[in-house]
Amino acid sequence: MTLLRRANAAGLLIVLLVLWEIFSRFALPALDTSAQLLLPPPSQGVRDAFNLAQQGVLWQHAAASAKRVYVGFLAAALIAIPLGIAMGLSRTLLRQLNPLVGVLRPIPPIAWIPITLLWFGVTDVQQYFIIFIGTLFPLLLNTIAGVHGLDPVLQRAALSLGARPKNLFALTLHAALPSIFVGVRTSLALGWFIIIASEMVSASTGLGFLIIEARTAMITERLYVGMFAIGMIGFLQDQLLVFLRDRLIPWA
Amino acid sequence: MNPQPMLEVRDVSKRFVAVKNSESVVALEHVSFTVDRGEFFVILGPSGSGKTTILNLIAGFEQPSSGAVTVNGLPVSSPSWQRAVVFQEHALFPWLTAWENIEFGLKMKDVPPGKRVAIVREYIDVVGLKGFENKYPKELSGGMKQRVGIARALAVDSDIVIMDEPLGSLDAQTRSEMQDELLRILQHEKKKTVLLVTHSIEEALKLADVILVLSARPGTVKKTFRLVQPRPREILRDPEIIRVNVELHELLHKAS
Repeated sequence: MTLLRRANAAGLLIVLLVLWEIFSRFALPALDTSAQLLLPPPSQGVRDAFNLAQQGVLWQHAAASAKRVYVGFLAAALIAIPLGIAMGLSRTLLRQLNPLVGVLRPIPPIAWIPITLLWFGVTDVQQYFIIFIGTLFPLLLNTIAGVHGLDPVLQRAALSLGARPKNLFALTLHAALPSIFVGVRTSLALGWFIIIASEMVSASTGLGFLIIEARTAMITERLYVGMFAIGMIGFLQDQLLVFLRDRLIPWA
Repeated sequence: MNPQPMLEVRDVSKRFVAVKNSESVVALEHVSFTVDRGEFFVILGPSGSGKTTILNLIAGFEQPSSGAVTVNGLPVSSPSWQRAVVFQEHALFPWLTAWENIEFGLKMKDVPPGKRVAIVREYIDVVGLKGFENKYPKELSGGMKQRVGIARALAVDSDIVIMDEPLGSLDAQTRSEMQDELLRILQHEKKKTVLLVTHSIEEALKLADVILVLSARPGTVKKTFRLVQPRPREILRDPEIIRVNVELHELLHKAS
């Protein structure tokens, strides 16, 4: 029953895939002999994905990208979350750092690639840095917003129930959690955006590299594989984050 | 022997200075009154009469511009659990369950765990929250949330319970029910001193020992009434209450 309903829900998708398959397989070659190279049928992508997975190549590239995203993100989180809390609590610190954040934040992470290549060369460290700089600001700003988001009436409620200053700090952190989580979710999605672009420019592994290399070799169906892999990873990552949120902050 | 009042507000004025044009607004002017131990004291006034400002001064959230607020003869300088507050907007901690919200003040007071459990269980029972102990505020209705708010303020066993339009955010039906509930809940307490602010005449007539009427902008004391009728009251039957009701309507109509 549920299987039937699922198949039903994917009905349109299946129809589109079948139409695409027919179009690429029969209509395109009739129009132009080389046109199929530009839009191979989806079944070719599936076959290539299967082959790449069997050889282990797909996993290696995915793992290389994932490692860069998560190491870079972790470094950013370790700095941005404590710093964001401090900036949220201290007006002085906020005033001092705001101009710096204001100028650095609009610079696209990709614009950091040339200078970081000079600093670190074509290394994983360079990739970590790009992710670090790209995920730092969403984390920082969401943390500050979360700290500022404590409803003043909750502070009054706590004080009128005998809370002391150290309790107020715990209160602030608790109230900031949902916003910090939004920062984490945004940053991790952004991390995958950035790493693909970055690997297309300067890497010899990773899903971004897989895509750009397939494009050079004109293995078009492999472009599907790379793109679809990124889509799946992003989807699964977000599902995992939602799962964690419902367990860690069920009250939000 | 004349025991000192539980709460004394003596010649209190409060001015607010606007940040923009540094003009000052007078919220309260020369307000004086006393509340005795065990009294249910209702401050009634139109919006803009500074009634919430009075509560903020008594709770210790703000300081008067002149005059003095004393509780048991001691000046109020900061918030304290001895003056627990029930807020209009509930102000429950969203990350704590109903149980944990009620327990919060007891933890702050360092009440030992065993005793804490007993007290929380008692108040869950008194306010009728059995079965909802482990719900988060977002899972509770407005009326339920305010039951938690009331239980949380009563559980710390303060000198005074301050209620700032506690039923103001509820719909008319729930509000009327909760007025009766509040009376029932307070019967469980041994002569609690309650200070409640409202703009509802009906609420004041149902609940109060003393009703103090404030005028609007600036807030000054217009008149004080004392009601001796036992509760729950038939406010549409008792001739004395009807007389007070008429007078309150006239006063508030002129005040606003």
